[in-house]
Amino acid sequence: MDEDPENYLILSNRSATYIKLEKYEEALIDAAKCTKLKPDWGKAWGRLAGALHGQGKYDDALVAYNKANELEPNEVYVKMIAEIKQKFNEMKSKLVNESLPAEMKDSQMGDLFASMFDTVVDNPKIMEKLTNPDFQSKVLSMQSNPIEALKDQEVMNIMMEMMKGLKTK
Amino acid sequence: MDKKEQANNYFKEEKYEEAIKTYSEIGRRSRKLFNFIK
Repeated sequence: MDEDPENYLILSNRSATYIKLEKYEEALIDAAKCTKLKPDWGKAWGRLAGALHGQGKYDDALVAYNKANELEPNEVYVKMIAEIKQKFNEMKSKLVNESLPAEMKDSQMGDLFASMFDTVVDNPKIMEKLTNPDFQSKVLSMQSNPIEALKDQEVMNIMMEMMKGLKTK
Repeated sequence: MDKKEQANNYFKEEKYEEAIKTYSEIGRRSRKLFNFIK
């Protein structure tokens, strides 16, 4: 179906149908083909965003919703963008309130982390990383052995990004 | 009623499996024609 440029409407409709059936992988494949056939069509990006959203890939969904809204402003996209940003805020609260140990939350280090988390709400890549349990345990290990934790390139990169956010606040 | 309209009606009626089948049939028919014309 992807060979015929006229089929973008069919691909878009089938993608929407897959989304209804919660078959997000199939929806994503159709939507991606649709964006290739009709890159200037907002709805194609909206379908892509819907599929990514369904898969829980919030950062990529946010990019696609923004692209859709840029091409064809629509209150549905605006609502979805707000919903994802709200989701990031909830993730942030959860991280600060539940993931950090009490002694860390009550300490100056906890305050520092809380303010760092404020800087990542608009940085979905970091947010996604911080909600990954494996990465969280690496961050938490900083308490007992900060030097060792910072030797990890992944931790170091995220810390640098967060520090950059602090500087520009 | 053409196939496209039928598929869209299935979607509106929330008959999603039927809608998928019909959209896929349209795609296959269209590809055959496209390959023939090419």
